[in-house]
Amino acid sequence: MPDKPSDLVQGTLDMLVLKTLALEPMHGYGISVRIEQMSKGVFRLNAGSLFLAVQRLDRDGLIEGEWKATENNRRAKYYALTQKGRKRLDNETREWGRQVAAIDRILEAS
Amino acid sequence: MSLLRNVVRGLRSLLRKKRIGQELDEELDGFLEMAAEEKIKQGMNRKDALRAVRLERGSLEVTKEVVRSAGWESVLETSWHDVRYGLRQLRKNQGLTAVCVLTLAIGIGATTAIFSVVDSLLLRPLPYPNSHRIVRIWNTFSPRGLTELTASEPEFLEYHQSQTLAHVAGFALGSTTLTGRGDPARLSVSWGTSDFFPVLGTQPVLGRSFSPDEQEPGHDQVVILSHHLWRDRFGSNPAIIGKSVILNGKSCTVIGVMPANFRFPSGDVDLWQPLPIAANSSNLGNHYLNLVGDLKPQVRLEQSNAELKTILARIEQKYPAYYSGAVGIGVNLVPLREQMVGNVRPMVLVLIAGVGFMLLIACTNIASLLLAHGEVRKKEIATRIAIGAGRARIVRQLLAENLLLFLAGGAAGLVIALLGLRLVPLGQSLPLQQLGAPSLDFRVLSFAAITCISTALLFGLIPALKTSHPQLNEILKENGRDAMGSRQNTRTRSLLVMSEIAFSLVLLAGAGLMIASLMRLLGVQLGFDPANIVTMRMSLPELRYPNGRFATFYKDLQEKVRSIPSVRAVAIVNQLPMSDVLANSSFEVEGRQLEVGTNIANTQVISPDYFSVMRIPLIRGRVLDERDLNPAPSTVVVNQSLARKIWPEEDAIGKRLRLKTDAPWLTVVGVVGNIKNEGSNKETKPELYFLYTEKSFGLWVDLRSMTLVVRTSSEPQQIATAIRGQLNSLDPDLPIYKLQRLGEIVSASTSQTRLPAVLLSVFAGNALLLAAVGVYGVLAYTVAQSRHEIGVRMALGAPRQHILKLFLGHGLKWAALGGSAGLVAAFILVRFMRSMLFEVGPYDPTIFLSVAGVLGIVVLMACYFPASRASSVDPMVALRYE
Repeated sequence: MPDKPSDLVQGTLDMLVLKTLALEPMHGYGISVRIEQMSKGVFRLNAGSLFLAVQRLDRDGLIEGEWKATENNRRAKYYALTQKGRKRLDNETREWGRQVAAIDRILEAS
Repeated sequence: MSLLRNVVRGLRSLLRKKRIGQELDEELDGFLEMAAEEKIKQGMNRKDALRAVRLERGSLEVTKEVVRSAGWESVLETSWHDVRYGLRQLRKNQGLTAVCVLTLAIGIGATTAIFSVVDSLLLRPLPYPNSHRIVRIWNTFSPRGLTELTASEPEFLEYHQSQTLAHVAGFALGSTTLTGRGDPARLSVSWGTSDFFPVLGTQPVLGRSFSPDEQEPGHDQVVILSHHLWRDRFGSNPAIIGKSVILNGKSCTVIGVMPANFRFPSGDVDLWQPLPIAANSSNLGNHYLNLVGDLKPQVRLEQSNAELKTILARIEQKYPAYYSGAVGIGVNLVPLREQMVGNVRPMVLVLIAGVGFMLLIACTNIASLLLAHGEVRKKEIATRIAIGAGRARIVRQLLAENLLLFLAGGAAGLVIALLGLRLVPLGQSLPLQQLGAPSLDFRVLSFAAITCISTALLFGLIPALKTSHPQLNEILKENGRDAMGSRQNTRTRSLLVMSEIAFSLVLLAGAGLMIASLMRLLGVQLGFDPANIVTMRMSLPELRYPNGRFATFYKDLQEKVRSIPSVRAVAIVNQLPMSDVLANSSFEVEGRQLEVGTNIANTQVISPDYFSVMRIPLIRGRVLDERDLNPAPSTVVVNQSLARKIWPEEDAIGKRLRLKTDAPWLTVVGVVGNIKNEGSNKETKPELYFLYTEKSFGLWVDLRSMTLVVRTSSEPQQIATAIRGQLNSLDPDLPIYKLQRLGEIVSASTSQTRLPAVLLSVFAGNALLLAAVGVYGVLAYTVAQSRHEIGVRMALGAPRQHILKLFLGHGLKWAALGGSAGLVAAFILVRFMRSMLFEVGPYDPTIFLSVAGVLGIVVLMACYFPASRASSVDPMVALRYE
């Protein structure tokens, strides 16, 4: 039994969604499963938060949605990263790395 | 980019709401299904799987709501819902809506109207560039307390050299006769020196202004028309430029037309003409020039004032003989706006404060009504909160309702403001001729909108916050008995009622003081009888009436007018009492040396019947008579004021005086009663009456312009037509002007008091009514809420009297607390009214006591009905009433 799913660090969900979509276009449920798998069950997304993030990214022009058939012949909206989204992901990843390194240094200093 | 995209997406989801909604539903349903399928694969049945997903991932319905309300467009959408819901609520509660809208309409309407007056008098910039640098220049004479003396030509020429003023212009006002275009017309004209238009920085809209050589004597036969004259007399025809018109019998070329908003020196000026002044003029005695100038940039008023003082000193040294008799002469600069509105500023400010108080009372009343209404709706609100509405959402919705109410009130208020401005004769007491009439222009409309919205936010928020206060358990389980929430609301409403009472008291005190002033003013003994007297003025043109001709004309005219059947008596005079023409002169008394300042009197030139037409009583001696003129003018009549001042211990009859050292002595033959010659609120000035004659006795008065005073039973217009008929046989080209009843002149002299008295009374009356309604409403509500308690008290033996007293006591407490606060505020505020009052002190105890009494009685009356209803409650019914 994995640990109880934990809350995301404030403001990181958008980055995780972008990262997930960087590999291939995916629908909403796919995104949530992928994030859960990659985090080894640490992050379990609530549908509300997920779709809020998707709508936000869509409005900002970072991702784009398209209706397609799934492997189970169901209609679903697949989201893909735009050029702008890819750039944002690079920036955020770099920024995140810097911040984590800094926080690590602070924590290890004591 | 992304902002644009955001807006586009938002709009799309607003406009194609259904499709977007379906897409979202489909997407979320898909999510649910896919998650469930996963669980089913792991061996759950479908129903359990769906339930497990909902537990893990959150309810689908909530998710939809959360996603939908995340975009900005959802705020718009819910606001639209609020508005629609609000409109439904307002329609449902028609009575409440009508009362609120009417109250607000009166409050906002009156405030808007008064603001438009404040705006046009005090706030709106004057229509001249650099208007804040334009100043009027006056000579002063401190020994007689004179502050606004006009200047002579040599004084003007010296002031013109000023280094601190960019320009200095002189102008004189008068009238001229236009002939050759329809009926002869008497037009008012302003003659200005070369810098007149440059000072004001305004050019004609058509044609040009005066050229330098047109300011030379002999070349000044040119004229600039006012916009209204051009429109009314010349049909707005641009071809008038370069044409000739006949003014006072001389041909003048029209060279320009001024813009419509050019109103200097006054809006009733019809024409401007050049005023040539010789550069070497030494005419010291004729002080006829009004001066106006504009400060150079960076120059302060005091600097310029100081400079002109040194210039005046220079003039005094230049003409020592003339100025040795005028020790104490000075010079004073007054900013143009101050000159125009200085004397009405207190009145206008008092009015806006008064109407502001009334608006506050109106809004307070509405806040109180809305609170009461909130009590009725608290179950509805509590239910909505219980099923998940946030408090912010409820407040927003209540606020939207209240905003709608205030906007409806504001819209109706604009109609009231328009009517008010149309119906109230503001022009009589305010200098609108110089500043333009107030109108509901963009500035005023913005003010109305801001007032409306800010009062809505302020006074709509209190009830919205109070009503939305969640005390679910109390309210939902409440069964008609007093709940804690309503107790608290009652306290808020008591506070509101007390402030209404306080504001009303302030307004009542102001109105009371003004009414008392007006009563005293109307009760003043005028000393003459204005009833049934019609007056009109005429001026004989110099060209056709050389010296020696005009006395005969006026004699013939009076005889002809006397023959009109409806005319009972007729006389002529050079200046009417309380009119703005003021002729006066200094005089010498035989065998005495009078102090400077006591030897000046108004000079009236009259025909023998003047005293009988005006019903001015003869106190001693006799009136003037034609025989007094033969062989030379030898008599004078004085008023009581002059007789008492000059001969306090002696009989004035038989004493002799003269106007100049080289003029003949005149014997005082009669003393007449004092009349209020300069206005009901002014002290009577000493007065000398002379018989109309062209023979010289040392008086300088324009004998060509006289006022006809007719005692008649006819209307002014009828009598004017009849006189016109008689006049045609004497001189068809002579216009009649300033046709008025004497009564109108008298009432105009009280209008400065009447306008604020009437308006403040209307405001105060309204305030009193609103306060009464407010008191009644709150107490009636309290009684309704306390039926159970009353029933219990009565069942336990409380007498009815006791219950009555209990509730009247509420009212008395409010009246006492609110009234005392109001008294304090009134005491602080009434001193700003001091200059508007007449023979009443600002702290007059009788007035304060009576308005407090009136307020107390009204509050008690408003309390009596709900209190007596409380005392007539049947305990059995009240206790059963659950």
